[in-house]
Amino acid sequence: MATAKAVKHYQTALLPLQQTIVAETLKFYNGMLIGVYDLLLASQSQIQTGRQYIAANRDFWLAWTELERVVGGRISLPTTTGAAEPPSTPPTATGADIPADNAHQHGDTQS
Amino acid sequence: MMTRREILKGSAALLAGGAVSATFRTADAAEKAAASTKPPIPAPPGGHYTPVVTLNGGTLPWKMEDGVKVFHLIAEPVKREFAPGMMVNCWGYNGSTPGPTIEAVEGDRVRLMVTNRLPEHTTIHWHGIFLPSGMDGVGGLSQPHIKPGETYVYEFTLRQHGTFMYHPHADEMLQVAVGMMGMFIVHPKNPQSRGVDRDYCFMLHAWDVDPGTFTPRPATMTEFNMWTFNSRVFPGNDPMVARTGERVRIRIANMSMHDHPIHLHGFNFRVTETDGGQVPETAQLPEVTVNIPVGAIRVLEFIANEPGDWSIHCHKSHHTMNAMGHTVPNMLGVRHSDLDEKIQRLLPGYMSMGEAGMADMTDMVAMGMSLPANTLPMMMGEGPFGPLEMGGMFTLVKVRDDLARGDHRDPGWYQNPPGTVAWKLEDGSPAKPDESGGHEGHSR
Repeated sequence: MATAKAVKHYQTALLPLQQTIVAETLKFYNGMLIGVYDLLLASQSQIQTGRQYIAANRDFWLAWTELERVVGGRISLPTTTGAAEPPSTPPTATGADIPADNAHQHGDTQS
Repeated sequence: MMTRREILKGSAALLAGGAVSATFRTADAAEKAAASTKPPIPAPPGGHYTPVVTLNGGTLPWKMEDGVKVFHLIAEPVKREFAPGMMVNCWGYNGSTPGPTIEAVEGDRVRLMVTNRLPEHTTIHWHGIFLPSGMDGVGGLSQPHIKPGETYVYEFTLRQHGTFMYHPHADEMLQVAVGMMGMFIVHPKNPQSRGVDRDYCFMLHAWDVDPGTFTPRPATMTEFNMWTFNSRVFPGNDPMVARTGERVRIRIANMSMHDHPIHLHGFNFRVTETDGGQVPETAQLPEVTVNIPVGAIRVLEFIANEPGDWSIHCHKSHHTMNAMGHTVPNMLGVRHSDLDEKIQRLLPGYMSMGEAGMADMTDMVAMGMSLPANTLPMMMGEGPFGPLEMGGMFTLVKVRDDLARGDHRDPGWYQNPPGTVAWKLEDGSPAKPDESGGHEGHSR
């Protein structure tokens, strides 16, 4: 359940926070208060968080599959564990479109 | 490639989705009033002076009690609007930073009551004024500190005339950094001496208000980002106005920790006075710029003999900017606008700036790009011919042929007589454009 908690934390806290950081950093850039490199660092950090989120999802589903194998069949996803509510669908990044493998593909999905 | 305007539209949509809502708060009616230039208080019967006009401030009313002029200053936290779009948590006097100007006449007996509504003790030092040592206002040296809730009385006879200041001498570093200051004008007893038609005063100060915040950092010593005339920045500053041919006096006091070379366009002036007294006429150099040292006052006088809108500003160009990044990478001449498209895939609101100069900042502002909360653009202001690209220590002296005596209201933009505005060279011919039409600017 630790992996489910991690996934939830990315969804509810870290990804929205990174989105806010990038939006606020862009405001500082707009005001010529910081340079473009600081802005790119904020974007890089957001992308890293997205990749970590995907990795957390992967860990959850691997652990889940292993659990199903051990008990010998499909089991329904737990929904009453309080804070730890795992994703009910395969993961897609919320907020910004987060690349799965490398950052270069990211732009291509938007153009 | 997307145009700047398209980019900004995209950026706005993005920000609407995920951004923290701006915590910006506009000034309420009392705060607006505190930052407006109030009419001067006329000289009392028998007085023979032109009352001083405090830029974006006012004069402290007094009452006579047994031949003593009684003033009451209340030290308290205040909210100051530096310009529309930026409110600052300050300390000041009677609802304002700077505090109201004290105005009296040489020979007056003055009683200055000081009530402390701050969260810590304070005192007031009367900078430049000759008085008994026990009235000098240095906490712990001249007197006990004025604790919160207490009222102290200062009383002395004004033995000189001139331009002075008042400020705390208790936790002075912090209290001055957050705005505690005011001016103290003593007119000469002799009505014949030193008469002027217009008399203005303001104080120079510097503040460090981190973008996105509201409270100045008192610990900053050199790297300030807001440079103010009477705790206002351009375009929040009111203009000083005069009728053509009038004699104008401007009294400028420096409470900041930097020197400020104040430059006046259009006229030459003489420094007739410092906080140490009158400058002999033979020592008054003709000047167009005067350096105002830290903790000093310079009084300029000139004849406003040319109508127009004339700039007056600190000649340190960074001091006519609002908050800006002093450590941003130097992009001047660095070709990077061709990377816009790539960076925009990561950051839809991104636009390169600084490659051909920094004026593109003004375009961005005009198109409504987002800045951090409670933060003014580094350069702003709109004139009759376009953006002024100024901030901080900048305002105007407006001289007009048709102003009434004592009318201090902003007359709007100057209407240039036809043929007197610089014109664009067309077809290689230096001929003036249509003399009757001309570019005369427009009224606000």
